[in-house]
Amino acid sequence: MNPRLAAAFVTGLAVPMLAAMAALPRHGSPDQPIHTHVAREYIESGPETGNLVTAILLDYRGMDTFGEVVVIFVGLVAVLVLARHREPALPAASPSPIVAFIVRLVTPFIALFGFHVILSGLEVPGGGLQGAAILGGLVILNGFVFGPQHARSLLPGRLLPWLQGAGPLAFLAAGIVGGIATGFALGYPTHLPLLHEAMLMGVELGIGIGGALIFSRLYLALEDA
Amino acid sequence: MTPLLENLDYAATVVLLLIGLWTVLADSNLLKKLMGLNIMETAVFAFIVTSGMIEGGAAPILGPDAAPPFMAPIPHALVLTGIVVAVSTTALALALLLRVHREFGTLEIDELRKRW
Repeated sequence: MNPRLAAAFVTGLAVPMLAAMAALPRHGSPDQPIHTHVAREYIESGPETGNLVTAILLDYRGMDTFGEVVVIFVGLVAVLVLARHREPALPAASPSPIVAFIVRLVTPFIALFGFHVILSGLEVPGGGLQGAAILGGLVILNGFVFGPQHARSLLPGRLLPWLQGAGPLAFLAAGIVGGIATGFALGYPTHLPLLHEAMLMGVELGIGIGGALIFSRLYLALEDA
Repeated sequence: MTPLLENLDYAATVVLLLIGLWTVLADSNLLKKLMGLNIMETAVFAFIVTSGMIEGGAAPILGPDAAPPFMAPIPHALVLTGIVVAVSTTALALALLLRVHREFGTLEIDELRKRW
């Protein structure tokens, strides 16, 4: 589209949109509808401790998160089909010794932090997907500095196909266990605290490890294509 | 103008959305169109997250020291899901663009139209 025409269109669109924003309830005030219905109900009668965002993600909107991990898995499958490996990956340009040293130095710490974020998401800010982004970013960082070949060597070898699907598989397992324990698919047995905790941790780990491997493979597939 | 100034956070997300839309419409490079689409996604996420904010509120992490008012946790969870879906659609779009570039050697719309 002609840039001038596009600019006129976008400017014209700005007027009704900004008018609509001005008509919304005042930003940040506690009596907006968004705070007075579902959110208040959930804060008052939901879990008593811990990170409510993670609780919503895994429990209240668990089916939605299940769908989401399936979406990234299917996204990976589609990318692998489209970006089939053609030519061998270029050998890595030798990185500057300073960059190589720093990246090698921080890699274990970033990995530790990623797992910490995954496992502590129930209590403090964090969670499976946030940790997955950190671990995936770590693999991508190594790929940028030492080349994709080195990044691939960081991933588990034989278990990779299964671990990539860890998110959907963990949800499936939690759904079945919850179904047996409570009678509802993806129900969490609050009367069995240990099992409840184990299921939440298992799903978090599945989302985290599966997500990290999917992000890494997305990068590697696009890098090789 | 006062209501709009009070809702300045919302207005900022509209501006961000329109910057993205302008990039999608006006740029002739497919990769930049994809970037514009990502800017639009970010604007929508920012809009949803900021709608859950309360002036002076605390993060929705309950515990002995936590005191209300809490920010609405549901928009946060919703956006977290949205971000991951956006990542996978972006990766799929990048893979498609790679194929287009391999077939036609360009990502410029005008050039692609000539070779169609």
